[in-house]
Amino acid sequence: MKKILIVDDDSAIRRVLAQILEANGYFVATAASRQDARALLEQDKDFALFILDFWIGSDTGLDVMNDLQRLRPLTPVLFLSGGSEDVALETSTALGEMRGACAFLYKPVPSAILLDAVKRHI
Amino acid sequence: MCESDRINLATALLIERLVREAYADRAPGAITPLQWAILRAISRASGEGCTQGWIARFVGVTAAPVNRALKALERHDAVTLQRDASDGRQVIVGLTRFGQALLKKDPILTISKRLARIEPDKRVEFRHVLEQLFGTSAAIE
Repeated sequence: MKKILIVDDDSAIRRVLAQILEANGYFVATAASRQDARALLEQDKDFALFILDFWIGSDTGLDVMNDLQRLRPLTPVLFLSGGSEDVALETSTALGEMRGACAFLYKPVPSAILLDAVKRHI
Repeated sequence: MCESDRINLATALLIERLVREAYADRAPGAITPLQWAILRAISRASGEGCTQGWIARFVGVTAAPVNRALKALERHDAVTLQRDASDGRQVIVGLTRFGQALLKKDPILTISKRLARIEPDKRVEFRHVLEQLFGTSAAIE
């Protein structure tokens, strides 16, 4: 069973994403912060995909991506964002893709689009 | 102005010129940079079309200029604007085939092609600098 790590500071988003992915045969672990994600990955590196919120508290998803890819450099990263008041979605999308994210999706993401992106990159 | 300020200003001017030169077609009625950004936004939207509000959030401008730009794009036959059947206040925006074809001529592709001609390690450095310019804290590995 392929394992996916979801990092998002919104518990409702974590729960919904996990439900969608688990119902489709994936094993899901979740973390609410950059620190939690790093701690989780130090214990278990066997993840096939990271799904990261682009804004996680005071950190950006790029900070989290940096941490996680230090431990698992080849694991693809899919970003999710609902946007922020200060930064246009266009800017965060370009920053994420410039860093090498495999996909950038926008909240609320329809489950079919999420599953399609996951299947394509896992 | 000290020498380093002059050099930074000249660098900023060249960045601005790079982008302005990409949008070479400035004839009346030509597609404007905001209209191109909106076409790109619609092409990235999840599912079937998107709302004007989402486009405004994506591009980072208020609703009024998006509304004006969409009307111009509709006149170009590049987008469709349809009232949402489930919420009459919302307008769902989609790309026409002509709009999709237009994106193949997106002016920023010229900058992307110029970047492709730069040596790979210099491109990595350039991306690093861009991240810093946009104020992100993480460094490219």
